[in-house]
Amino acid sequence: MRDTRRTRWSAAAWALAMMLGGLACEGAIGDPSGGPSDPTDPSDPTDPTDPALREPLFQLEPEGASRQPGLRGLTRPELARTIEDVTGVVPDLSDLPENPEDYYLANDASQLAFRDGAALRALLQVATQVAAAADVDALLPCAAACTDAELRAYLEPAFVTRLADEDFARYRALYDRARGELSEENARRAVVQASLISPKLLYRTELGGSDGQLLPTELARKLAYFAWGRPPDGALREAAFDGSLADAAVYEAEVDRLLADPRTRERMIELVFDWLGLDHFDLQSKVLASELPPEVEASMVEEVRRMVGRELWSENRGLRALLTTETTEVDGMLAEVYGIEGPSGDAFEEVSLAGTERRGLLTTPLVLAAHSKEMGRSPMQRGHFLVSEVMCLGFGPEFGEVTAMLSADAGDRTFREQFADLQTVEPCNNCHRTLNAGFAFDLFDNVGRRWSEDVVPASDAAGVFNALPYAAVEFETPAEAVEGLAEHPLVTRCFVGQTYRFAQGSRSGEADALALEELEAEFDRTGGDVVDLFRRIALSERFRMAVGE
Amino acid sequence: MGKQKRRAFLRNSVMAGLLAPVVGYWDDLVEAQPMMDRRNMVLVFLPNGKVAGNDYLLGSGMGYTFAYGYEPYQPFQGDAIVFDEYGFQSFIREEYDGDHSGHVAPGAVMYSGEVPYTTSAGAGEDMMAPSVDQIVAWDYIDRGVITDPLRKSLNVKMTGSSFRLDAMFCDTPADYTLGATYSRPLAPVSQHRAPQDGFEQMFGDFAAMGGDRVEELWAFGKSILDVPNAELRSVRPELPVEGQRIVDEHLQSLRELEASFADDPPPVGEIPPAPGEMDTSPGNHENVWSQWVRIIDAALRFDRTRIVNVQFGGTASRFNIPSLGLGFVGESGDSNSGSDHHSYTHWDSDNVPHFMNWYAERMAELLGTMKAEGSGRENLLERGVVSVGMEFGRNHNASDMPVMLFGSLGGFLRPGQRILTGNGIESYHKHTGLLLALAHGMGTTRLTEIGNRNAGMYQQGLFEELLA
Repeated sequence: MRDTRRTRWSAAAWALAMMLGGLACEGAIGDPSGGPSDPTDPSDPTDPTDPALREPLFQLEPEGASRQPGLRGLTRPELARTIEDVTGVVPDLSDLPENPEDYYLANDASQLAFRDGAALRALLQVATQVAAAADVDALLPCAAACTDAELRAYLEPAFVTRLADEDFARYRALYDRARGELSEENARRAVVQASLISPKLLYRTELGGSDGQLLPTELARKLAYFAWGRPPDGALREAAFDGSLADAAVYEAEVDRLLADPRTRERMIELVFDWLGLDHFDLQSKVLASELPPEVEASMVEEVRRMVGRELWSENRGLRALLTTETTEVDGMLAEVYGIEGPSGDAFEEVSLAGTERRGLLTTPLVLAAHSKEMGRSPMQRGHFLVSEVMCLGFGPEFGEVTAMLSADAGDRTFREQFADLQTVEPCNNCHRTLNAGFAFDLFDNVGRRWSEDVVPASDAAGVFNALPYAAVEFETPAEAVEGLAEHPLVTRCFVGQTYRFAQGSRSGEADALALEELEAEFDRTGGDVVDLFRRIALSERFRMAVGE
Repeated sequence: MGKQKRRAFLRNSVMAGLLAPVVGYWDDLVEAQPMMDRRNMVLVFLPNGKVAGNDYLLGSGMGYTFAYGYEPYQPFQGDAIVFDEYGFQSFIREEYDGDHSGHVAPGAVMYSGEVPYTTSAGAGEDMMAPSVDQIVAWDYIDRGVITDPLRKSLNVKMTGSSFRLDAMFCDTPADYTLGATYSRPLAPVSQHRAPQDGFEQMFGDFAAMGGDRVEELWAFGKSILDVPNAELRSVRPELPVEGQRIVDEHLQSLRELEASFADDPPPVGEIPPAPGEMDTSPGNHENVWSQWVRIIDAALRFDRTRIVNVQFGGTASRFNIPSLGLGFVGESGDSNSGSDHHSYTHWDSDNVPHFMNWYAERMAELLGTMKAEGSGRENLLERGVVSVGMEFGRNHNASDMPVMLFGSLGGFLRPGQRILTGNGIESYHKHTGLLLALAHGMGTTRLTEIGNRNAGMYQQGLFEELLA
């Protein structure tokens, strides 16, 4: 049963990749005629790991090919929150290098390492600053010279680890030496400083015990960083320290407790921002931004934060609701961007999108602006956003670079009509039958406002998203497009795949196929319940398994 | 040079790297000026000046000495560029006849290259172009050399009156673009009179973040790398190959970090203690200035800012210096009479050098502090420049002005020179060329013109003789 399911996942992935192969506008590599007669047939002899396929999320690494490192560095945001939780000081990590992204997520374990002395120097500077600023009497209160117990009382919660004597001895020696060179207070600060550059804080291991399961402390950290993006709190830490977390019921209760905490809401917002490429948004790069107050950028971000937090966590209506909701919250500046009456001040107020051309997340000014050119209309950019970010698909480099330009002699054809031609002509239609769906969002300008009707008529939004072998999504308006796309199986598959990677911090392998398929089915069944998805991932066998198992 | 290497290069190059987490602009600086050492600019405006007959350079050629009134500059002769007949009076008289022919204009021209605007009704004396220090500061922010507006510049005002125009240093307006001038008045920079306010601007957050404690912990922190090193080696054998690769990279990074410590300069000394509240009235000038010298020196050494401007009073200031013990001169009821510097230029030229000498003593105190080396202190005159300018040198006009430069701006300028500029209309070229040279030496090489609406007519590029 397990093998069959795995094969089905891979075959479907292959089919999608071949479909995208057929999207090439030029070149023979992606010739659809070279594919199988029935791409969904799992018995097809074509090698599903054909190197021509370029679908990173769906191309599962074969078993045995895993590059799991067994320890995972914290991402920069995770490290910032960890330092804050451990010391009470909010650090400035802007001098640390950004984490490299792998298919929109920046938490791939194999990429999270300190690769040069300059980065470590920046970290040591942060550790020094934080140690100097921390309330050391609260962190490491010692009546006189710190005893072993007092030092452990700080170090072990910070590392979420019971320190072996050999490990503890290093900190004992460091503290004793510091007392000889520094004031008593600064000697304690030196311990804090050292803890912040310790690999025990910067990385978490996933080596597990003899049973192949993560150790309770490892599991506690993995769960906390998945659900909250920060280290375990006291209760979870204690359950790890006393070993009770190894009990399934205790663990399940902790999973539910964490997911009910508002910190999970923040984590879901982080996930959506990563998934949709919203975390590096720069409104000022848009020419039209000069027509808006600079503060509107923060309002755009806040609107989406509120929408995601409300739909996915507070109200828990699920992903489809997030994509199609007729409710949003705006302040006065955003109301002007939306072109709706209502709020006029700085406070955010709930407004209805019913009767407008907008629905849900994909038509928020933030998403629209984040995926537009600096100036001019952006239908292809938004179409590519749908294909790549929202659907997790891609146009592989083997299909050649698309350099198509619209004909200088357009005749009587409008801008929209010229692209409509590309949707019907071989080989351009291979790409444009999906990319052209970007026109659904092209009614809105580069900063998320509605273009005037004389610039972009409402009729331009009409189109189709036709990703084979799935049923085409036809629409006349942005709202219809959103409604149709929200139901598309590729959206579900993409979101589940990205969330799973978000939890595991690595590319999925064939060994994950079963878990992924089950998660996808349940996610679909629940109408896109993201809290439930988080829960199922956290409770899955794969999540609790040590590296190499 | 790669990004990371540039980072390392600059982080290692100055002690200020230690303060980067506090300052928060280090990376931006690195990106913007990858190959240029940090440079500093101190512009000083001294009011009034000398009168005819108060020569300040004695002797010819480079064998000159400073006359009384300027003697305190003698120890810095090798650091100085001095001028014979520095002025632009002819330019002012011929191009801006009327009110501008007097002594009001030169002070404004001093650091902006701009002649003040007068309304058609004859009222108002306002700057229409930013001063060169603020242009450089704007450029630093625009290029991301600094990101914290708090450290754009340190603006100091020694208490003294102004005659009409108080704004010797004007800020860049919100709509500024490099080189822009305006047909409307510009706002002066916001200045500190009290040293404690300047200290707060420069070091307030540093003190709140632990101040000296940071330095002590940083020094100790260099010796604790054996702990993470041992921890990494301890876990390495348990890891899969991919994990061992990550550990090996981290260990290599630790070695690089340790090696980088060898390039760290020794500590630059301690940040001065915060001054308490001070009486900033003229009677306490000397003490106030001494505090400012400490703050300016520390602000530059710790890279809390790179630009300082100092203004003693304003144009034609009735600048009182009680410690000189000079009494009232002039006539009762006459606005140019009193015990101040300006009144003496009207009524008692023989005693004007006492005022000049007092200013020179103050400047020498600043120069000496900035130049002091030893115990890890570097000579700030090598990487920076101090410009001292006074607004008139020959009976209230802009001829033969006491203007001097000290320092080499990182080798950009060539100190130890005596240059004849002259007072004719063409000397305005040299003045704008001097201001451009200061900007370029600071790295603002995008600036090609400076000054007001007629600046285009009077730009001749850099004042080449100044350059190394």
